[in-house]
Amino acid sequence: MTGDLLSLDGVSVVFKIGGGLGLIGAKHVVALNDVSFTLPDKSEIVALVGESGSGKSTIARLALGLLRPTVGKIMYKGREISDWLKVDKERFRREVQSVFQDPYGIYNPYYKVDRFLYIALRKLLHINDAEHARSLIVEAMRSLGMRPEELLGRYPHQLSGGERQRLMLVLALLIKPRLLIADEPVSMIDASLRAIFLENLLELKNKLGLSCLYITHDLITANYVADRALVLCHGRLVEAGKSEEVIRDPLHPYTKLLVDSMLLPDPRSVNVSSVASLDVRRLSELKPERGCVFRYRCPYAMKICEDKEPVLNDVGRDRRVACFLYSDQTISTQLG
Amino acid sequence: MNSLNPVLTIEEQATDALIEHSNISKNEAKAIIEEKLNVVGLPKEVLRTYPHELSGGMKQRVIIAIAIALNPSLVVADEPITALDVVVQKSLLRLLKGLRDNYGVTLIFVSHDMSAHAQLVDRLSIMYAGKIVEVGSTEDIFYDPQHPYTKLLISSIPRLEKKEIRGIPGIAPSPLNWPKGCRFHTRCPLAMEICGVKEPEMLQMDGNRLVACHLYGNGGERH
Repeated sequence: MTGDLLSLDGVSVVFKIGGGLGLIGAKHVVALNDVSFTLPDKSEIVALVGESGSGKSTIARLALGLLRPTVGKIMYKGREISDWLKVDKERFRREVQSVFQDPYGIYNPYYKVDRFLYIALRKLLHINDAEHARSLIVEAMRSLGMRPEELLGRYPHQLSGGERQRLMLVLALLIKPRLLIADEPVSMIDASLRAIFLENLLELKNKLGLSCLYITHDLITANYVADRALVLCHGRLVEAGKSEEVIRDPLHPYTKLLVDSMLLPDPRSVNVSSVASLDVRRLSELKPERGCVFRYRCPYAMKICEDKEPVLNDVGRDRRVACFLYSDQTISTQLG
Repeated sequence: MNSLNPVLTIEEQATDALIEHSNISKNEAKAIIEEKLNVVGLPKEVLRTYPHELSGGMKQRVIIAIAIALNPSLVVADEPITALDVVVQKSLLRLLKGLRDNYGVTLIFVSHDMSAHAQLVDRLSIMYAGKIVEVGSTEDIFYDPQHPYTKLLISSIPRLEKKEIRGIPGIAPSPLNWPKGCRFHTRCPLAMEICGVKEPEMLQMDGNRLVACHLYGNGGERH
């Protein structure tokens, strides 16, 4: 346990919405429900996949210490993250860095883009000499195939989304974090820059030996960069395994749906058929109160799925699935 | 996704265009919108809601319902599936395809998502820095790209089976200061002298293919 880089142990996060001061009238939203997984202390890119509302970004916020779990523990290098923030915040901030989805939102439009690099170097690495800082920045940019003379000294609006995202990777290369939390880093940038960003991410992994939580709803890029994939559905971890295997041979019906929805970049294998109209779904929340979180949409839903919630089961070859289709309990309960 | 007015209900804004552009009563407009909502898979209760109560995918579907309410022959969709979930993306693409197949709608689908293009469109125009550089059938563009930019763009798409992708080095030029000649010549691996001087004309190739590049035709070194 203590040897792990990051570990989540039975983590749940409950948000209270509405209801003002009292508890009366307050609604609770369970963003994460009893999630456990670990990133071992080796260099690894782990993809977190799932739809909006599945809890992916909640895990990112937990891992950055921006949010505390309602129940359960989240540990970085064997120590709870809330402890890190109290005891050695600077080291934690240096070792755990982030890249977020929106390349527009993270920069202050009034300042030149390189400013945050200087600030990070000063605060986290105590490099106060501007000349020295500049030479480090230039070197880091060059090694990621960027042209510093074209980018430094510019304002955020003068750069493309992809360039702004790659500057975050320059920061990572400068600060040399142990863990990078990348929340949908490529969903808003176009194909040619997306490829360069992903290449840079793999380079960082190889150069610095960093680990990365790569949060995405895009299975194709997850397959491309990640070693392992964790699939989240309505706050539950429903499947985990090697990313290639999870995508090639999905076991959980939810993962099957995600894989089946993947748009293939190939006009010769079209898997989108035209429809005259879409099925009308109820407006009410699609998540069941009890039982398996996916059962309303699951084509294989059985009686047991209404009554009980499946737990993650080891099905061999580093694969875990939370579904009664793959558990011994199904057979015994169905028979008994 | 932000094109709905946050302070009006869906009913108010969805019927608005209908009433404005045809001589019908509020109730008739409401009936038409209900029918169109049915096409996009939304229940009629949606009419009483405000945009913030709907998910991104639902808002996009409301917008499609409004767009098809007047039975248009052309729909322009600008990045309609970007930043939505995979499952929602696929159902929206099926719906857009259905508009073509069932209602004879022509669709201009603007997107940087090459996978969506591969799945949906019949013909593809590739644009770079404000110019169309190549036009062709989707299959020709993906399997036999001609323009150097198209070639690089196609090779930068991550695929399941292919573990090697290449980006396009360099940055897109600024609209305030387009490069002289071909606008791609600053990043083009095959750039020749003429590319920095003369802008290539659009050439008709075999079939329905158009390409604007000095490598083709007689705009090249023979000049």
